[in-house]
Amino acid sequence: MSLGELSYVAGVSPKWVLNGRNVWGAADRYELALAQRLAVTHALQSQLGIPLARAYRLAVDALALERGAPLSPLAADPDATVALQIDLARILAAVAARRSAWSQGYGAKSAGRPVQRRRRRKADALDRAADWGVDLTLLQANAMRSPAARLRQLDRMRDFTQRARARTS
Amino acid sequence: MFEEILAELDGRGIRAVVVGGVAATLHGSARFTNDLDLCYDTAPENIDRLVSLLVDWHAYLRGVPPGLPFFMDARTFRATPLLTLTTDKGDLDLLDQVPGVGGYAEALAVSEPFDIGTTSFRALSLDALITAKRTTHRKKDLEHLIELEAIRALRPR
Repeated sequence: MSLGELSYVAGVSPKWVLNGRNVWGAADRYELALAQRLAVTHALQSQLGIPLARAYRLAVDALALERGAPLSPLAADPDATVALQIDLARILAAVAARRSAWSQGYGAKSAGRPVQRRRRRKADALDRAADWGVDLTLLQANAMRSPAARLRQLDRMRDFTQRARARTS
Repeated sequence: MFEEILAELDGRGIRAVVVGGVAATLHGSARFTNDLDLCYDTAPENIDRLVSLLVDWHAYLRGVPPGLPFFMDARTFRATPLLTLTTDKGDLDLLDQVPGVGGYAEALAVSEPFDIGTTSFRALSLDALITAKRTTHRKKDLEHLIELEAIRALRPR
């Protein structure tokens, strides 16, 4: 995982991850387990105001507990006069959902300058597309179809792809 | 499949605007897309309808190892409003925000109505799609942007 992916999956900012490196160790690998620890840490810090180092230790303890219970009890003092409950499954589900979104191309910040909004001549857009390798005859053929016909064509392409995948897998 | 999904959304009264690749197809794009991207209304009753549909379709996260915890309920939508799911009917990307456009209300304002068979739905206009692709600024979106601009150039003024 990159720093960007780790912070997105954990639901924190990259700066927050870098600032806390002295707590969780700079050598820790950027992987799902760290993202889960950071997500729990961040929840404890932001929702209860627990200092970062303490929150991280509690997160490590919470994740070490058995995952079966929906709410993980976490004793905050040796006599258990004060106890903390973390809805670990919910936090981990949110981490999983963000990981899924990242794997589908969401969340990533692009490098470089944003595309400038320039006024182009009609011919420029077509030339640019042709130079890029876009088959303009396909676009012209699609322009003759109704939106319903375009959608049905896409459905047929998707069916064909799924059948081909099923035959080759 | 896309038609079936859209018909079910329409039938259950779920408020959402079609964005992304399927919206581009409706405008004439020749690119293949395997998933339906929707910008949904975050009103509680709409989320409840969406959740009910997704439960029926056995929705689960796409692109993650099986076994990770996941709940299909309104709390999940509040915690992670962007969900990339696989369902019995196909892949769905559910977004509360469209980059460069805004939330459901803004997306609705720049959408166009479509009627396919007995199904009515709305999809982002070509200009709004171009704005969204420009804003996201990912490599694959830039490639798509070139095609969308060509489609706009091909349209009669």
